Amino acid sequence: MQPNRRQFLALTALLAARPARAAGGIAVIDWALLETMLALGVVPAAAAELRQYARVVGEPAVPPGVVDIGLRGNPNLELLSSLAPGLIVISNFYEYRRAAFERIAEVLSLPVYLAGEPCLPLLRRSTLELGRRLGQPRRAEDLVGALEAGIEAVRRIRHPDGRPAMAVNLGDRRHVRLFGDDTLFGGVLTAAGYRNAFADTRYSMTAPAGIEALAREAEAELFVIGPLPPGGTEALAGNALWQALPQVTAGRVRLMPALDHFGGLPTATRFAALIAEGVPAR
Amino acid sequence: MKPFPRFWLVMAIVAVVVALAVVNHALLLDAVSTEAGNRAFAAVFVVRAELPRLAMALVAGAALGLSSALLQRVLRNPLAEPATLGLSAGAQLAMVAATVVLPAAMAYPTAVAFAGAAAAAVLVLAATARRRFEPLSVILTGMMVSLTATAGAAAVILASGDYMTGLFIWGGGDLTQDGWTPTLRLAAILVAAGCGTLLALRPLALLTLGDAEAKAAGLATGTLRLAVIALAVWLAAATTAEIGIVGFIGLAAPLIARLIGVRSSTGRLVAAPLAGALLLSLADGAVQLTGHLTGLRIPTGAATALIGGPLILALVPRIVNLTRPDVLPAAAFLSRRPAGPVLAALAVVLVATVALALTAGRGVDGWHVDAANADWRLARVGLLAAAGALVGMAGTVVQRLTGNPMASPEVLGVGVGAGAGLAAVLVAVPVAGLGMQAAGMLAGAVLTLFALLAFVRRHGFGAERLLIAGIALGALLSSVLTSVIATGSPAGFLLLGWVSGALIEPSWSMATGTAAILAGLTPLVILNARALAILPLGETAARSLGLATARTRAGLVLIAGAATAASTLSIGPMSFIGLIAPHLARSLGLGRPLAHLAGAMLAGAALTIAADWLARMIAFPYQLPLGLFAALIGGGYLAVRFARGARGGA
Repeated sequence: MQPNRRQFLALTALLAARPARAAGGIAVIDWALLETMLALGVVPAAAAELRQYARVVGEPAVPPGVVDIGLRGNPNLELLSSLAPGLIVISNFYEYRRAAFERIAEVLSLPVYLAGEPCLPLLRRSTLELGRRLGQPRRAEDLVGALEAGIEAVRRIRHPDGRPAMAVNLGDRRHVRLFGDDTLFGGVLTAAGYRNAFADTRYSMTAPAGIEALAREAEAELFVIGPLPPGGTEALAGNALWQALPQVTAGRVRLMPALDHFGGLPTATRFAALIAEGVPAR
Repeated sequence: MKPFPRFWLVMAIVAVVVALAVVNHALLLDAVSTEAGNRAFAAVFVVRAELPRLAMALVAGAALGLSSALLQRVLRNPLAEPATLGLSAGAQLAMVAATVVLPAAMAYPTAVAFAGAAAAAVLVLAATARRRFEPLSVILTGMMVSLTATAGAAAVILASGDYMTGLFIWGGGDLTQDGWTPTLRLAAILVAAGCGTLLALRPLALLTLGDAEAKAAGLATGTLRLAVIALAVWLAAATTAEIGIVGFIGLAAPLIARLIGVRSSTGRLVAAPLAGALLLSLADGAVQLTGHLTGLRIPTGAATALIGGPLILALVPRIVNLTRPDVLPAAAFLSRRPAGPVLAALAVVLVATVALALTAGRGVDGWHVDAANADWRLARVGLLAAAGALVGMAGTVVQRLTGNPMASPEVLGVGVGAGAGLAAVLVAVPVAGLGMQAAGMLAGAVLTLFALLAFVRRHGFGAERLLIAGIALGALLSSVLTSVIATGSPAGFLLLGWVSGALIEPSWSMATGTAAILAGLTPLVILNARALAILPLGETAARSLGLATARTRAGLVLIAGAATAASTLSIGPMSFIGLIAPHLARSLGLGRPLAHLAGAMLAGAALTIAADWLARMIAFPYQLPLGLFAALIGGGYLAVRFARGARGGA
């Protein structure tokens, strides 16, 4: 399930380089910033919802010893406060509880997603800022460079040339989530030169649409971001509507492993690598 | 009336349903097959998705109609149906829990749903047996079970992360199909249940004569009731398993049956499924049309709830006998036992709970009892105590105001109104801060409260009217919540957290603010002590004792509404504590208004703090929603009490 391993060697090497716990301790609430931080080679003292992170994001893995402080939307403030971190890193999603975090430590808030705004430039800025604040500016530039190289590889290998494409996640047998232009995956598709068939979709975690929405652009390449709904590929094989989709009959569907829908630059780079490598079509 | 226009009314509804289907079909083909390459897909879609959906609306609507007709008949309750009795929500909770905990069981979704719906039915019926299934009490308990099960399902969805897109959508009532199997499965159950109904027709007719007469004619009335209720629960569970929660279809069916002139009760059993089928088709067609025209995906269940609310209000004036004059709750409100020792004991329990919550906790290295994090815990416990006392106060006022010990502030609809306000703010301004969120909730609560007051003012301040109007408003507004939650957007996720009672942020300003509201409202309630002593005796007694009931009731509704709104802002729409705390105080012998009030406030504070402590400790460091534990405590208390009450016969 890891066709991207090879292309990712560079990044893993970065990770393995120096897993030292920063003095004063850093606590991270947002997952995009958590994976970015790990990719920068900085191991936080505490992070939120690590069990689910291991299932949904997985890579880069969280080293043992990082304290799980509970749900992202409702972190355990008592535990967080007893850890006495020196810095708490949040994203704009958690800005509304900033006051509580500020009672515990200095807060660094970096925007990761703003509705309607392309998210790649935003993530690029936030990554560089995070690298600067954590004393890893060079590695942050490397992360930005890795994504650009990944996108360039898609251009070179896949020759999108304005062809339509869509990135979706299958919610259940009859519903899909669409990734518009202000999402991570939509951003990568556009940057690589595809035309996102769902450009105008307003972003939300699960912008659900009926599966028939996919049929509107019969010519589009269909990138299916994991995880698959219960039943996996077997359920898809038995799903008559899915099998009738023009993209499926024409073999223009790429099934991808689970990626964090609200991920950071490392996730974007993984996505680009998956496109470039051409996961087996089905 | 002549039969002719009635016939045309039915034909008009049929025509609208058909027209909707045709227009939706055209719009669908237009949307799906703009390109030459996907004609094949369009053909498959029509056969495997569009046609089964039309059929499913008919079959599911008929199943809901029949289920409701049976329940209404057996319980002699014009408001009984799967949603108001909590059957749908019970089935939903069982299925959500099974999906997460025991996925293998979901190979038999109808069985899982039946287990949940049956548990809800048993709970509601056991709780109201002593009041002889008095319609209003049955509905109140059903709504409480429904709210609690919904909070539980929300908590499970939240705790299991983002695997549950399907459950989000299905929870709101979703009729989309991808084959004929579910429709045929439900149709088979409908046919079987229909045969069962035919067999029960004659005994049911006997039952109409009255229990004694039916028994004399050799009818096992208890068995018959149980069998018919089981049939209705089965239908409701099977429907929920296939299409999620679609409420209030069953309420409209008898109304339509009456409109087209069906007078006999047997005739109504036949007319109800037909009316249900038509209504659900109408609602689903309208939802699809809205989706095609605006791109807005409204869950079908939300649409029917939107219709259901006003429908209940419309039905109110036609309904008599919602309460049974032979059930006298007043005695419980008149106890003269000395209150001092009981109140002292409750205070000790509260102090012990506070001490536990302030000192005991878990950290990275296990359990510890100390004063660490004292400033965090003080603010939290202060907020919870004030909010819990407010809920206890609201519950006491509502129960005494209506003379109904099954009433609770949740059914005023104010809590759901606050949620609808929060939903509006989150949809309009996704990055709204806590201040804006609170403002939205407050506006929602206040607007709902005034709508409630306006309604009961127009229709008289009777206890029944007040409770029914509250339930109707709650249903109406919950459709807003359901719609936003079903989008699965970040706003929906936040709302799900609020519904499940996840505490937003215990800050000192919030704690002192809530305490100030508590301090302001308490003297107002004390000023009304005399009214609170008299009102449970009923309207006539109150008048003869010289109480200006309309104005007094309006004032008390305002107080209860304000208390509910204030507590809802911080701890969400907590089910059960508003019901349990006054109940507990009364069962301890606190019958006089002020003792009852003090006892309920102490109990409410202690229960809220305990529920929150459990919610934070059990899955440490993951903080579960407080509402879930409040519901567990409250549900457990009710179950134990009613089990004991049923045995003792008291």
